[in-house]
Amino acid sequence: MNRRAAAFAALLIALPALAACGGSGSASDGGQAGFATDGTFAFAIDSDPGDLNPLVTNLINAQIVGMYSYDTLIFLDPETAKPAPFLAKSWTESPTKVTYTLNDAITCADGTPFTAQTAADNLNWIVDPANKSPRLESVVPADAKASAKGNVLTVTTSKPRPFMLYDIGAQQLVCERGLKDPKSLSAGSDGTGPFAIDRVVAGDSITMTRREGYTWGPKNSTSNTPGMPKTVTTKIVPSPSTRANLLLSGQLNAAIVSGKDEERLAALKSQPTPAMSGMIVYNHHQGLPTADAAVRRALTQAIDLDTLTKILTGGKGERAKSLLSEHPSRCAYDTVQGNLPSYDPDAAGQALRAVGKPVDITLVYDNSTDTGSAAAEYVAKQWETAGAAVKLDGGDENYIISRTFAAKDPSGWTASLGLNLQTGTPAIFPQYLSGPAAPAGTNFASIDNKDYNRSVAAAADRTGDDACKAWAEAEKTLMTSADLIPVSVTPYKMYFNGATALYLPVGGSAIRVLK
Amino acid sequence: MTTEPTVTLLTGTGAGPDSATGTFRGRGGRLGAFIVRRLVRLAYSVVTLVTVVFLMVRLIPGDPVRNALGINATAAVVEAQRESLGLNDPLWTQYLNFWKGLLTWDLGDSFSLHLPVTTIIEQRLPATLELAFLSLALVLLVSIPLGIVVAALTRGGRRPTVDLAYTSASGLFAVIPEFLMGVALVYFFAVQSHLLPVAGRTDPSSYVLPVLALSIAVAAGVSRIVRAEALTVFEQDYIRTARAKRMSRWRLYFRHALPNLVTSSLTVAGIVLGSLVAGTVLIETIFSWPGLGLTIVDAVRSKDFPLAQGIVIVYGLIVLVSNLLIDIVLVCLDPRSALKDT
Amino acid sequence: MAVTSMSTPDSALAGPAAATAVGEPMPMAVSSRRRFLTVLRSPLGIGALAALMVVAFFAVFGPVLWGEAARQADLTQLSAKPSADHLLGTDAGGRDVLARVLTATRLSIVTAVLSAALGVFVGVVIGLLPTIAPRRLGRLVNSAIGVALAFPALLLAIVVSITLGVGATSVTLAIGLAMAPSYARLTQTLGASVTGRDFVAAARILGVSRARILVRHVLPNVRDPLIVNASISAGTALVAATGLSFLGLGVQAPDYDWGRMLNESMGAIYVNPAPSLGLGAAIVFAGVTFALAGEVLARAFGLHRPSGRRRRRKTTGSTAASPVPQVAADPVLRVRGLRVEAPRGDGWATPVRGISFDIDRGEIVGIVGESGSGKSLTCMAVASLLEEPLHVTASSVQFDGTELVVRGKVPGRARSKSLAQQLGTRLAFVFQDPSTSLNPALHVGTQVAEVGLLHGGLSRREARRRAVDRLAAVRLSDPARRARQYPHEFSGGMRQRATIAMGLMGEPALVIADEPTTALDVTVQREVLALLRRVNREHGTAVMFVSHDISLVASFCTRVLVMYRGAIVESLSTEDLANGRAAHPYTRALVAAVPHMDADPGTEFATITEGAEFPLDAVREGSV
Repeated sequence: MNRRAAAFAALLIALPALAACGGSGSASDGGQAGFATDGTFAFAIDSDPGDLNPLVTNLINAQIVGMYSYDTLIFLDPETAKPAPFLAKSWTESPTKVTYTLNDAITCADGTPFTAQTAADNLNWIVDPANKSPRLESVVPADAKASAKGNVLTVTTSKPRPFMLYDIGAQQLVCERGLKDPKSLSAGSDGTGPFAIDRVVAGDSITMTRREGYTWGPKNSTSNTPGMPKTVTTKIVPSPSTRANLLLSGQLNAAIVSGKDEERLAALKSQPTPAMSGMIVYNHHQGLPTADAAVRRALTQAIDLDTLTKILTGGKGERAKSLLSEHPSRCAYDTVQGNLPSYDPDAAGQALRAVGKPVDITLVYDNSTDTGSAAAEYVAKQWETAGAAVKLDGGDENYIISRTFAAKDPSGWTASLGLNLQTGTPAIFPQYLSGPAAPAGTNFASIDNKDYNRSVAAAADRTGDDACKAWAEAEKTLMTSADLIPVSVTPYKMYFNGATALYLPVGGSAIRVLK
Repeated sequence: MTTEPTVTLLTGTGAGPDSATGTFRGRGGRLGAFIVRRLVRLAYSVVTLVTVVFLMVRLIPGDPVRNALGINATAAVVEAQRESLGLNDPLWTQYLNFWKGLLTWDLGDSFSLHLPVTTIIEQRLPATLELAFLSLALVLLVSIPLGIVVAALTRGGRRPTVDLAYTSASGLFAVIPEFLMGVALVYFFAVQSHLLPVAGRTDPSSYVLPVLALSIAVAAGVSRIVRAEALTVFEQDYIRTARAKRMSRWRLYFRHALPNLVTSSLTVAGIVLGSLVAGTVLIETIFSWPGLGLTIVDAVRSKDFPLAQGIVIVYGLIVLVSNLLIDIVLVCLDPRSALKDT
Repeated sequence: MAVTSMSTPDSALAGPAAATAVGEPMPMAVSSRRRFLTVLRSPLGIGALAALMVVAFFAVFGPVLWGEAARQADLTQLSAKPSADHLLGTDAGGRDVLARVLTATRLSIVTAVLSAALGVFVGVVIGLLPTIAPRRLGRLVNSAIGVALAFPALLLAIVVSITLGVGATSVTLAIGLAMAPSYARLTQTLGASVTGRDFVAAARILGVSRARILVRHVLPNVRDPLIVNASISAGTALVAATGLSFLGLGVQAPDYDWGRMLNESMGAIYVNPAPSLGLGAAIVFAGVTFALAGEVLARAFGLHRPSGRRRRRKTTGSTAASPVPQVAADPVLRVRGLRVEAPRGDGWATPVRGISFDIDRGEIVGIVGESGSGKSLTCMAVASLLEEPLHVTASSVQFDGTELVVRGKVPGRARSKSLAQQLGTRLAFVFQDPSTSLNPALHVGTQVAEVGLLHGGLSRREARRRAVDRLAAVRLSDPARRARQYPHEFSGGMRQRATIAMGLMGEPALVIADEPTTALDVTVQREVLALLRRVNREHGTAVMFVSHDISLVASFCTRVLVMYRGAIVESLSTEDLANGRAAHPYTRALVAAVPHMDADPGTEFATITEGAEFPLDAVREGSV
């Protein structure tokens, strides 16, 4: 899988944990003694991040770069999957209100103070429709109101927002000067993070230098911590092979490389970020064969999902256990086992014949990689063996979106393999898997699962582990009627050469340069 | 991974004029008048280019705003954005606004990168042009002498082994996809031997591999055209006339034959430049070269209208203006070409 | 005819076929079929044919023989490296890469050939429009082609693919349409060069319809280069298909072509290069095959000269009698046993068969004979200007007292600097076609001055001054200005004068004038002849005057050598010739064939029966 697919996934969810790296454990095993003082750290992203202002970009690469110059209110501890202090030292949450109490003496890179009022101004700027921020709704609810009192930031909404604490807590915040002149942030920075942007060479690189007086980093990281690099260079390197070459030649210290080139990097330390890499979505639009649960179940039975996982991930991934792919996830559960129909080609054939009319399927798939195409061909072959007629319709991720999510004709596709809903927050799903169908709404597959709708309504008001249980029950109803099939999870790996990340996500104050 | 031999898409490598001898009719035609005439033609070429690009970009199906905002934006937000970007205006209004923008060098903001298109182009164009023009220079420096020397060695059926070897080798190099060449060069000179940088645009040594990868196939193809032209020129009566004066081979080939090859070589250069510019797309990917090549592919794919049309127009302008300059140079070198009314 | 401008060589209505027959750079007229066979038998031709057959074999039988194997998915062997079972490994779906490469030959080749054909067809149609359309429309089309060439084909291809839906059809269309503009430009350039010629202009004035001009004159002239380029483009179309695959717009699963496969295998090229290399080899092989085929076609069509393999020259003795010429005491040129051999087909032709003659100082000797009788070759041979692959042998060629023959051969160039100087200054040439014998890219003055620079020891400025002086000597008005002009600014007669001026830079002992007036109209012809005669008189320069026009020779020369099929069959004084004392039947036939003194060139041999045979034996020794 290429990183573009992951980038697309980021459009769906808004947590930097997903954006960069999650996962348990840390890559830190170089002792303090091995850290270099005032070193240089070079890492790669796969495409130009464009505008670097964190308030106006949804691009994952811009968020990765942003981690070096901007901080967020809370830090999601990868070991505990619980929020930890960052800009905020404490917080409270309810479905319609969250508060964050900010640390004292937080300063921007230019020395000016960062207050709760600044944070509120950030959120209100996003909410202001005049600013046309894509962070609106995806991170900050349109009905959110932010205010500050002393060092307490309060955000309220009119409708319940179950995971608002995390969503808003993950927004990178800018300082007052940048807020007044957003254009200055396009190719520069004004934040509280450990590094400030020096120079941006469009399409090529971004150079950052360490600031002084940074003391509020997660896990006690400060600007004086040994191993903190003096200079950070972000290089834009689209080709995974080239990233591998650069890593091997020492021109890069860190880069995500996935696919065949990983074989060459076996000697390097790596940090995996599991992400959803395969999902079959059936279109429930009225009149399509897949509107019928029996057909969906039969089609699912026809595929050996273990084999499909192997093909899709090139042998590197494993079966998905639920729709949640992000690590650390708010919840951890297995909804697939015992709920999804298991592999039985004979039963599938019988079931399809029992439908009594031809089953014509247009399978939209991601053709940007050999594994994607091979997987689609495998699925098509299995379905044809079971008696369906399959037309393959391939394209890149933009094409898949335009054929499914943004299609003018919502009946133009029957199933998709390559549109991966990516999130660790189960509450994100209902807006895509229920409600008004496309094109009016965002329920692009016209799913109308009464059991699911009911369970979701019940889960919405809960918090904590209680919520997770309720969401798991809701998700099981999707699996039993084979509404959409989570297939595989791939551990996208970030490789390190001469550097390491003490904790996740990789970036910002977590970076340490080795001697 | 990436594969994009646009060189061939653009020209069909072999398609060069096969006749070195131009037709000449009439007299006169001064340089000034010629340049004015060509400028007028350039003007309406540009109008056509802009119009066609404008329409074509809008022909591409798909919703640019949806792409820009992501799939979680609501329909209302998408519609509002559409309205504010003027995408709901009648086509001719959009067209006029586009011209207005073009003339004031304001091509709007990129949907995906949220930066002014002109800024993006200004920042990345130099890298692409460097790559394209260095490659063009290398192509001409290699292919013209090579073509002439091989033609001289093999004219009239001499040295059939040299002929066969050259024909096979140049045919071979001409059809090696440039990305394969690029990868091979990186593998041998950067990954295996660490002689040259793997990627990036830094010191002069970082230019070597991308320029080579871009040039080798084109140089092989162009040298074939030059050789064919040279063979034709060597058959010309004026070469016989020159031989009758008893001069050195060097003087014969480079003083008498070369000026007659410059016309066709430069014409080919004009065609090749377009393909080199387009060929940078793939090379830029392999070498992480911070130019426009990769940007345009992403722009078209993500339906980033402003960016896509801006880059396409700039590419077109480069080719049109270069061809104009080449024509002017040609007229200075060989006044007959001013008389050609093509 | 009014339209016969002075500057063009071709007779007005003869058309391109006649145009090629006027010059005779190669001694024998090789039929196109024969040339094709010759090229096919060359190593290049054999190689191309063999490669083409290999490609065709896999295209036809690939899917039949390996199609099934290419479908078998071994799900335990995904993206496997090469092994005994799978020589190129397996793909991401566990299928044998080699079987798929071979199977994909058909789709890849068909797509490539069809898109090249489409590009050529659309390009030719558009490119011919300016030729037949009204002038204004033609210009519009021209500028449209210009814009199309500047338009990134990438975008065009994307639009085509997206509009038509991706797949093999849209790949073909996208590549074809993207190629069309360059073919349109090529066609238009070629077409313009043809329509610019006088036979087309004349046809126009005679009211021949545009369509007819197109079919009769323009199409035949643009056809051959187009076919050649098209065959090469089929190779580039293959590579272009991989480009579309890169954008996800190529052939779609479950179909597969080399482009799609290569694109998919590239991700692993550093880890498992075998599939990419295999596919690269297939694409390169097919591309080279198409290029070779194009090269063979080019040579078969004579777009550039066939380069046949070097044949071993047969070393038989002379085949024709070598008449012993009248011996002059101190001739400016003495030729004994001159023989020219040229490769033809499998063997050798002997266009000049061991001739001997003398030219005395100050003498004007005419050489007559029909086209292909060896006149021009003789001129070039005695001037030591014939090169490989022609073989020139003689027992002796003495020019101005210097022996040119080295070890039985007349070399193609002067063997020493002093000889080069002697030949460069003492031997002058006037060629047949004034429009082509001057270098179009150099100033006339520069060309005239060059001999002074090369051999006269003059400085650039001195040479230039002398060149202007020489131009004045051939009665060119305003010589200083003329010297700064290009040949195309000269009329035909002026160019011939300039050529003579070039010869007069030295002190020529002999002017070899090879049909110097054939391309000129009658008035100009007289002026040039008068000039030559003046040179002869004033400088005592001998003139070797070659013509197929026996009446012209009779009026201009003092002595005539009659050549027939490479031999001098008769040598007689013009007096004898004029008085009907020619002895050889061929000479008599020549004289009889002259209708009147101002015979229209092109009909001169009309009454010599085609295929008529005359004896090759010389009938009489030459006499002054």
